[in-house]
Amino acid sequence: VNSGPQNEAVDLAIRLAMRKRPEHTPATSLLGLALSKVNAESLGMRRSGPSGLVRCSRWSRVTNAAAAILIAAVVIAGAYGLDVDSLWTLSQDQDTVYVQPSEPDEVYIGAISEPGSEEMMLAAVGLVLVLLCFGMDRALSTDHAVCIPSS
Amino acid sequence: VSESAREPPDVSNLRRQAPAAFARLIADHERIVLGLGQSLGLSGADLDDAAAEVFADVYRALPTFQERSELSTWVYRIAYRTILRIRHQYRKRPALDLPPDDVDPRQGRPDEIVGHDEMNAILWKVVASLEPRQAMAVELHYRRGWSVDRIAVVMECPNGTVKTLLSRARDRLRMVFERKGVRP
Repeated sequence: VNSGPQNEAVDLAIRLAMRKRPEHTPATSLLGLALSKVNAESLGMRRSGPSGLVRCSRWSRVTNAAAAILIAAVVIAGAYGLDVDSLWTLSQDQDTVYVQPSEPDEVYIGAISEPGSEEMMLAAVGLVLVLLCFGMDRALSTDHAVCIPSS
Repeated sequence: VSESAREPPDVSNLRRQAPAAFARLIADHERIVLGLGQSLGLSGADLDDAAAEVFADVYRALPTFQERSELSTWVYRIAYRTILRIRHQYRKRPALDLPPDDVDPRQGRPDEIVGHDEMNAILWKVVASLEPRQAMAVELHYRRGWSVDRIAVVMECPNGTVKTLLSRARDRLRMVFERKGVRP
């Protein structure tokens, strides 16, 4: 591990300093804390992260499924060009499409360069929502798979 | 190693996840596990939480323990992996800079000056700022007095890798001494 008198001196110095480090005393029983983590997971809760927060994976799955269904509906509606005029009033002027709400206050929402590309727009919105949901799930996820070594 | 660790572990009860046997397992191994967390800069409630996570992983895996290695080696392998995973979750923690140059005119040998609490505290912080595997190797070798062979078994790597980790850590710590004006 070491060679030469200089390394031996540094080794000794590190050893002395490290051995003077005070031992940490847990504020609570590690037995109780560990078993509470095991029990929480057996009840369908995800393991706690560094913040100590515990999240429910079942609830997460329900909300993820609901979001996926909603996104799929939006994408299918866009792909098949279903009538969305009931939601918005579309006005087309040559190569520009203006999307406006049907309300009389005439709020300008945006423009599309390609005529008749509202399906593409809806598909793009769906894709963005999928990416957002995926990113949020990754950002909120605090646990990773644990590999238990064989004995 | 605590007194109770000298008695053979009650493996059959551990496999059945008996509470008393598990409580003794924690008592026997918590000092080393907490030290590994300390070496990576965890403290307070975060350190308690990390150690509890280790023992929760051990508890879940107990039915699969097959005595192909010592119980303590198996526990520390799980601790090593779990604490590395937890440390990864703290990767946004700001890196620690080395202490500024402030040469002490009374320059002495490192083993003479480390008696000072301030120097010790700096060293512990620098160890916590090391690459995690270096920090764990330093913790087990210098603080706990483990051999390179034993560390290699727990870290599941060749002896040469452990020696390299210790050598790089020592080079980094040597810089601390030099910046403090200490000449070996």
